[in-house]
Amino acid sequence: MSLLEVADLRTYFFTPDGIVQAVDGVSFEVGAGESLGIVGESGAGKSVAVKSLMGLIRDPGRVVDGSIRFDGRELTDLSEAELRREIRGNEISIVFQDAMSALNPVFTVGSQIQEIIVENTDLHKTDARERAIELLEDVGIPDADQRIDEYPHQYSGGMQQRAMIAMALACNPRLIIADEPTTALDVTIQAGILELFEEIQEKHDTSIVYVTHDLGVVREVCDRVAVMYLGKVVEQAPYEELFRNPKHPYTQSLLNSVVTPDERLDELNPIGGTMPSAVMPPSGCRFRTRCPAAFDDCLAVDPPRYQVGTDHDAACLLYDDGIARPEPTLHETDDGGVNESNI
Amino acid sequence: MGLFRYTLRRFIQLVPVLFGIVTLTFIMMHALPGDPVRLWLGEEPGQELADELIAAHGFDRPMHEQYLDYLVNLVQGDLGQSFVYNRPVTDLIWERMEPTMVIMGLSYLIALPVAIGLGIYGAARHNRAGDHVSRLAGLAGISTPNFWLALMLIYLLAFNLDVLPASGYTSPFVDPVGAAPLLIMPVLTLATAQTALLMRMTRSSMIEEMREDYVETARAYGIPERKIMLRHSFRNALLPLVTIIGLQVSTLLGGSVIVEEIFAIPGLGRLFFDSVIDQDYSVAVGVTLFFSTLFLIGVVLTDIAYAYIDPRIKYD
Repeated sequence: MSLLEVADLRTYFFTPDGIVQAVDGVSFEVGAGESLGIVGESGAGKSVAVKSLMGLIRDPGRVVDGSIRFDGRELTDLSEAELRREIRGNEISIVFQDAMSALNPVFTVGSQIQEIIVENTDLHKTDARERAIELLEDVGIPDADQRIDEYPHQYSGGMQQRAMIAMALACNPRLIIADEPTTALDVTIQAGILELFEEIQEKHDTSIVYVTHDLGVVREVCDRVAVMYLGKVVEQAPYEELFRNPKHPYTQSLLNSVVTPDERLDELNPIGGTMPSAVMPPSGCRFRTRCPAAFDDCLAVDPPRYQVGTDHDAACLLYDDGIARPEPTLHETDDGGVNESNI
Repeated sequence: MGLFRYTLRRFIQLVPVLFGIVTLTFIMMHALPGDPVRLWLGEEPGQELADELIAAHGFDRPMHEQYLDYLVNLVQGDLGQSFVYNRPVTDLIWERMEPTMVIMGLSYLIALPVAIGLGIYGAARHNRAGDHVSRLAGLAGISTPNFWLALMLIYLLAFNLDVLPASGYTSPFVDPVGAAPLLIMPVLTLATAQTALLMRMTRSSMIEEMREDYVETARAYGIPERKIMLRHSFRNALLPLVTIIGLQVSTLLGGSVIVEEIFAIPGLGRLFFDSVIDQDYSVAVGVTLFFSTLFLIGVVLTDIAYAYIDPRIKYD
């Protein structure tokens, strides 16, 4: 049994402009000690999906359907108070993108970590302080016993993110959600933070869900990858398989658009068009408006997940054996990459 | 150490500001049309007596001499002589200070907890019934001119219901029981607009802070909502509030002029009002200087409070 099983999760925002179907039928699993990367463009619903796990969606948003099973417990059945006492911070914790604004500017780093420990465990203030110093040492803050009394603005960007990670570790959670953990950081700092995550994962057997639009992060640290597009998971596979053998046209385009250092600007392969609004998503397959391989049936049928390999599924009608369709216009090259002339 | 030097420097910086205020008030008072001596004497007495008085107070000397004299005295802590009361201005200010400080102090004492409590309540019930009611009350409070409110209170509570005395003042330090009924209406008048403004500021500041990322962090780590509001957000929301609280010194001083006049309270506001009517130059300039000093001290205290509340702000 996996530690986290999310099935058919739907999180909608009921705005005056209409219902934003930010997450619309998302399923994924995370095993104990495993790391899952959720990738996709901005607005794909990645952050909303992971915040839904902890019940952090606020008005006008709401989890309207689906199941979130964590260690066998159904989280959608828990009350706000139960989530707060039993899940948030101590079972699942989250590291946000921008540590500077995610930390409270008027309290010392130490007092913020201390508060979380006192709130979620039986430790008293003085013990909590000792623990906070240990945590800061663990995440690589030098002179932790001094710097614990400093304010967030006295930390560098990388150290702020390390302090956030110390907060996340404070109560030994079994799952850490890292929401774009390196996006706000200098490239030189990013690697260090990712290494820290890997270290934590190994040392404590913690499961980690990375939310990112950076395929480099995925390559670095993820065991498995789920690709999201406009509120849906379009493809899921172990990362090696996904990179070598992408099946969904969106994943293929995404991998194709990655810029490598030897490419020139006029050789970029961006995905044409922009992501449609989640208020009125396209009928059938949501990617069809930008899909190079779309055919008539894509207009009407919302593609289910098709098994396309071991532990690898894609939500694309190209892989439905029952549907008559034109010859796929996508051809895979021998090495498993995508022949770009066909996209 | 930083705090002491910072405070010292800020106070030294006040000197040129106060100098500017003295100069402006001095010129404006003397530029007023009319003859203060004649105003005071009335039409009856002869010109000889008037000339005598004018000479005695030095009003016949050139303006720049009077001004320089005033400055020289001021530096020595002498605010001059009131020709209406025929007493030193410093004595007058000293005597009249208590009522003004009492109603201002009480006004703050009532406005701060009520406004902050209601503001936080409004933010917690954002866009629900309780919020709408308190917002509406706040709007009404801000929009009500204090002279109108004072008159309505007198009309209702003193004239119609006859539960409170209409005017007068007794020192609460001498006779607290007798002073209380006299203080209710003036303090209520002063505190209403102050409370209303501060309440709306608290509410909007809190609502803004509750949208910050650190609030989501606190939620994600299982901190109870009440603690998030009262500890995390409130501390951040205090910054704009402290500014308003500091600036309200000037609103209250302005309000005290009106309130003291209406309720016949022998305070500084009334002294100032009368001195302008009587063209009692040295009193008008002296009280203005005193009010300005109070206000500027409020501003400096605000700046100091800033650095205390927000560790990102440094004294330098």
